[in-house]
Amino acid sequence: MEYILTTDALSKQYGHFKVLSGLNLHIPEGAIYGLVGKNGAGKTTFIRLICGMQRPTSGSYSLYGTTSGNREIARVRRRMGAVVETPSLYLDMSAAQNLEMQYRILGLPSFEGIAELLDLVGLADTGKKKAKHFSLGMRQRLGIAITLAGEPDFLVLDEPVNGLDPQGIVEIRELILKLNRQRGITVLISSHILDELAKLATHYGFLDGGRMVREVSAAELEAACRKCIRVTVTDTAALACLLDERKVEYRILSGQEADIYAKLDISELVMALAEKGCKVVSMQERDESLESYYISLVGGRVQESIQSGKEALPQRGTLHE
Amino acid sequence: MNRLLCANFSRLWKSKYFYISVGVMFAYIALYMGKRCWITFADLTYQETNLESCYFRFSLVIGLFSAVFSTLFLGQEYSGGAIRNKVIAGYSRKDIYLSQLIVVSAASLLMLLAGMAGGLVGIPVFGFWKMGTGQLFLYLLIAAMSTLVFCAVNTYINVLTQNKVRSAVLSILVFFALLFLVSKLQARLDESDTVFSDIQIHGDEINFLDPMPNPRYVSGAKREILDFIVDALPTGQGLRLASNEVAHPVRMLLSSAVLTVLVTFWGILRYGREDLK
Repeated sequence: MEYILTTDALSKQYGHFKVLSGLNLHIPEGAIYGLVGKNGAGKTTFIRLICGMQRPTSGSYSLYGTTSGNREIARVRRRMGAVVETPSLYLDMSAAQNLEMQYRILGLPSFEGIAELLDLVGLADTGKKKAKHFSLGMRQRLGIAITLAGEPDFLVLDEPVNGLDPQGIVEIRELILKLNRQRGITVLISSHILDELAKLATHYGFLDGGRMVREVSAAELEAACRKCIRVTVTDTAALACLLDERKVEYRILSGQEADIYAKLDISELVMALAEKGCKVVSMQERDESLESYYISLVGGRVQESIQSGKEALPQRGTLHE
Repeated sequence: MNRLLCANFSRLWKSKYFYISVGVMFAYIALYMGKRCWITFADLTYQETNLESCYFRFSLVIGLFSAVFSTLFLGQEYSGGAIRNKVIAGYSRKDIYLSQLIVVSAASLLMLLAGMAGGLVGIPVFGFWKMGTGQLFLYLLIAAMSTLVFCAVNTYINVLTQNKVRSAVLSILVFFALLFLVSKLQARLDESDTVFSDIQIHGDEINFLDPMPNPRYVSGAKREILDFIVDALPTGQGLRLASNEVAHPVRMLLSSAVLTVLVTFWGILRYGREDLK
């Protein structure tokens, strides 16, 4: 597997406070890499380091095979684009003028691609409206457009959906997916909004206390976080009996609720339960969430900063075969 | 570096702060000269003999204009986070720093030019300069060089202070602190070497009695040092240009060059180690 970015025991210290402590990370080419961690885990500091805004205290990183100590790293960094924390904009300029500035900074010979970029991020009709009058989502999209001016192969987005409304979140998600799938851009997204990250990422890195706790691919994570169907019935004893007969893995949660870890013929199940005098009240497909996986990794503490909207599922431990 | 300069200058030409600063500088000096002209007309005892006695006022206030403009112009790079685009685009800190110094210097020199143009309002009343062309250009060169010192200091403050409000306060505070310092030093240098214990007036005749040495008079090496400090600091140069008291022009020019280089060198060194956010 080819890696665009790797780090080797990367550390950053502010005074006596260690923010990153021997971080090892690997971002494969073509991936959407989700960097997961609570506030203060070191996500933004890591991004600042790889963007050249700060220097590591110790350790190194390698971007496209060029290590951070090499003078060439600044030139190699031109292959990446980044939105760190807030989009980097001139607020008193329009979207097109902001892009013109970036074109000048990059030394591009003409402004030909600007209209296309604005169209790509959905800001083609903003005209002379200044960036300071843009919504947060529009600024975020303009920030991404600016990073795309240099046609990067690697895009770094720090908390791209933070503070956005649901519509804005969907727009940013679709844009990231489009860039990854249509343009083949590798994307690093740091976020603590795990539900959103789960809809995008192909790889995950779980960061805690400045250390990499685990790196997994989405496929590996899916295997670890099994999908289930949560059913609410009038009699879980009848349901358990039926599922035992079919040798299906399940878990009883209460007198009315159970999780079933298999794909079933729903109609047949409902009819069979009806024959046993048990009614199905509701049925819902559920994932054991990325959030519960993360919490189990960092020690089971429920983090206030992890915003998911879903309750963390209880740990599997009472499985009935 | 050329690309950075191109981007910075394109922003300068679009900056309303730049045009406002140039306009206000012109208006302020023109009004000041107009007021001096009016005083000369209205009060016949007032001795305003030539243009240069009030022409170089701009050299006294250019530091303040430069401080305010630098804060507003460079502050935008940090408040909107746009400085990050330059770092990520692979430019060295030295190039970023120098490009900002160059654009701020160009803008401040244009403001100085606006001040010089505003001063021409006095020509109809005072006539042209009585000083020779060589001396006039020397004075203007000193004013330009002291402006560059202000630019170096303001770039240092604004690039290294990432908080816009703090850098604004600091830039303006540094200007007034330097102005206050040279005013105090000049006041000591202007002290008379003798004082009189009493004055007798007989009709039109005034007699000063018992002359004695002034304890506040500064002499010897200490006077030389104070004189050097006033000559070296940009506010001191402004003060001396405004009052047409330039005794050591070469010293002034060299001081400005050395201060500009030192502040810029120190700024680049510090900026290179700075953790950006």
